[in-house]
Amino acid sequence: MTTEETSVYESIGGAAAVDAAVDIFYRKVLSDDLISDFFDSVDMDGMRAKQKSFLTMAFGGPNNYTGKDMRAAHASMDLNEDHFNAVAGHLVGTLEELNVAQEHIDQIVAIALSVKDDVLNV
Amino acid sequence: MEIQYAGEVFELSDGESVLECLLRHNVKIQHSCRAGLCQSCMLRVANDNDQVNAQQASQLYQKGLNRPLVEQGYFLACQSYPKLPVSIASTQSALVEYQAVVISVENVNPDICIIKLKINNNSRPFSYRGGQFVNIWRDPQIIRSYSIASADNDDTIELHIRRYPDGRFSRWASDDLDIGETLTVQGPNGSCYYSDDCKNRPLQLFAMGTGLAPIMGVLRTALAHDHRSQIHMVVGARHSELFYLLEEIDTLARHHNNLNVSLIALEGQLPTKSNCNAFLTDYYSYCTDDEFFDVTAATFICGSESFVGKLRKRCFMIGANLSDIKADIFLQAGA
Repeated sequence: MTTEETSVYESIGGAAAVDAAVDIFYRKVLSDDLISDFFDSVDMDGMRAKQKSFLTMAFGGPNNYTGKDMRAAHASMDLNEDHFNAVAGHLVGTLEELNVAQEHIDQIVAIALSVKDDVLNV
Repeated sequence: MEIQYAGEVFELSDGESVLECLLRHNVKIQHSCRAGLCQSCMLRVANDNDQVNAQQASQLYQKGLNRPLVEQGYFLACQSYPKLPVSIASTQSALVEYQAVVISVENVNPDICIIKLKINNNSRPFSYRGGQFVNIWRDPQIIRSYSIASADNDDTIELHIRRYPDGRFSRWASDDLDIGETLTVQGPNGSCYYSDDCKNRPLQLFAMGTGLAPIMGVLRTALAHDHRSQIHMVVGARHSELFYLLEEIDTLARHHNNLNVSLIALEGQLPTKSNCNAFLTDYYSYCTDDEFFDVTAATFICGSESFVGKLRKRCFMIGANLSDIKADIFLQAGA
């Protein structure tokens, strides 16, 4: 018997899942005073595109980000644990709203945690 | 296979994307995700011929870009593997220049001057859509961008100029510009226009101050294209004495049943226009009120950066899709 490894990205619906998630996630972070400043840009189309990239990566989808890219992207933001946890919380909230299975949510959280040190530049 | 970028020719290797090719040749192109998502690597097809542009752009990666960007030949370099030679440019690159003759100059209120220009398009047609903008030279150092308030492909273009007391361009335009004088005009550019996908949808047009220029461009274009769905237009000014073009707007509202116009000022006297609604109130709460804000509409927002930023965010937060919102932000040039 052969088992095919499906990535969590494919399991939850791939690009369509990202599309469904991005506006929910974006609205959540804009409503959170602790982190909204980081996402509050006049260039909303550009910011939304960045969210799509982030969610694609977090869902285990195709991306070419390196640890160095993540560090460079967040270096000037002076982020701490609270900021990271807030964003992770909204990521989970978004997935719950979309009725994603808990096992997949756990896998996605694990991916997010794997870039935590890079995001916080520690 | 060759591609051209900024006047230089580059050899595209087998299986190489446009982005990879340019980076390999040490051309600095912004990029990030390399997965067709972040849009940092956006470039455009550059040619003198719109049809060639369209044909070439169709073989490049345009997924995720809105209709106006697609129509103007924008694409994502990291996902583009052209099969035919293509000439490309940055999104900020030089636009075509035209000479234009001043037909009229009119100070319509203390803040605003309306000028009309006839473009000399003998060597190349000046093809635009109302709501796009042009760059105008006063001299090589003083260049400003103004939105086209005319319907598409009128011979004459109408621009609305906000007069700043020390404005090096705006003072000259409203006080010194002569009828018959020639100006250099570059363009058109911008995505804030009535595209084909707007045709059967309700429109929401939100203007503040000279944001009325692109909004009139969109409105006049929509009506010229026989737009039948609802059009809700909200025109704002900080003081009622700064409203302008009210006669024309009132007439349009009278002639088109599907056009509903509201005039909003923070202070002053309410204009008495029989075919428009007028209110002294807060613009943002008025136009995002549950009762008439339509999340399915094609929405246009034009005005200052804070106006557009605040209103677009509000529309998004109450449920509109960002891809349905086109905005044009007006900045005051540095002194």
